[in-house]
Amino acid sequence: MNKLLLICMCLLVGGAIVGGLMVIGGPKQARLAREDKQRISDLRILRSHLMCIGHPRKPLPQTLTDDAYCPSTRHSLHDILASGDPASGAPYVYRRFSDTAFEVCTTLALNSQKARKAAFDQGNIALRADDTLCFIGERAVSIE
Amino acid sequence: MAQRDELSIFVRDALTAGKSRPEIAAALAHAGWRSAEVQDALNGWDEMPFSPPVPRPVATVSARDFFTYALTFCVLILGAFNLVVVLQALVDLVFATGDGDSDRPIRWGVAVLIVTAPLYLWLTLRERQKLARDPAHYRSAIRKWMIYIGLLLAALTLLGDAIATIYALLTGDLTLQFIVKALVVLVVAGGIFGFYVRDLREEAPA
Repeated sequence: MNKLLLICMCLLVGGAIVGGLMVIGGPKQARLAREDKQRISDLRILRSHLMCIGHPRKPLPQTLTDDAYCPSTRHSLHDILASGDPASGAPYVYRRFSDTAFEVCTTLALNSQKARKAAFDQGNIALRADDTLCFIGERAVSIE
Repeated sequence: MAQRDELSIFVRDALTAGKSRPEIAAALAHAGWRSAEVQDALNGWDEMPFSPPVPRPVATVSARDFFTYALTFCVLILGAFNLVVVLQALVDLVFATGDGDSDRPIRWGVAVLIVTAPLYLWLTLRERQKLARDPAHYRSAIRKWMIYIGLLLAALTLLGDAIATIYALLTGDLTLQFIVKALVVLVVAGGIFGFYVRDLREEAPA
C-alpha cells in the first residue's frame, strides 16, 4: 500500500531532522561555534601582526598596543584590540617569552582539540594544559 | 489540436446521423487517419445509443491544479535534495571524515526539511482527500504531467546514482562509505519513484 511508503518516508525525514539536530546542536551551540571561529580568526591576525613578515626585524613589542611595531598590519588589528574576546570582551592573552618568541591565547567555548584539527594552519597552534588554545610564533633573529 | 477537434466534431455528426461505429472507422481510415486516432475519437463519445451522442469526460486543465501540483512537486524536489544532503553529511560524520564545515549543510538541510516535509505531507493528504471525494480530479492533465515529470527526475537521479557507483567501482573508490551514500540516494529517489508509479496504477481502474 502506498500509505506504508509514505509513512516510511516520513520516518526517514523525521530521522534526518532529529539526527541532524543532534549532530549540530541547538542555536546556542551554533552561537558558541561562531564565537570560537571568530576567536581563532582574531588570533591568526594577531599572530601575523607579531610575525610582521616582510618588515625590518625588531624585537617583539612589550604589549599588543605598541603602535610603533609593524605599522602596516595595525589597521586590521585595531578592531580586534578594541573589541577583544567576542563573548566576554576581555583582551586576548599575549605572552612574550623573548625578543623573538611569543604566543597569543584564548579559551574556546567548545572543543579546542577539534578546532585545532579543523584549522588549516594547525602547525602554528598549541593546546595548553588548561585547555586554552594558543597561536605560537618564533620570529627569526635580527640580522641588524 | 484543431485537427483533433475537427475529428471529434465529425464523429459526433456521424453518430448523430445514425452511422455505426465500424462505418465511421472505415470512413476515417479511408481518409488517412491512423487507427489509434480513430479509436481515440470514437472513445470520446459514449457507446449508449442516444441522440445527441453523449461525450465522455476528458482531461481537464486548470490554473488551480497547476498551482497545487507545481507547489507539491517543487516542495518534494527541494525536500528530497536536502534530505539526501543531510543524510550523506551524517554518513560522513559516522565514518569520521566530515570536516569542520559539515555543520552548515546539515543546518541548512534541516531548516529546509522542517519547512518542506510538513507542507508536502499536508498538500499530499489534502490531494488524496480531494481525489477520494471526487475521482474526477484523476483526470487532471496537469496532475499527470507533474507526476511524469517527477518520475523522470527520480529516474534520472537513479541512473546517475548507478553510473556514479559503477564509476567508483571502476576507479577503485567503492568504499563502504560510498556504498552507504549511494544507498541513501537509491532509497530517496527510489521511494519517490515507487510512490508515484503506484499512484498512477491505483487510479487506472477508476
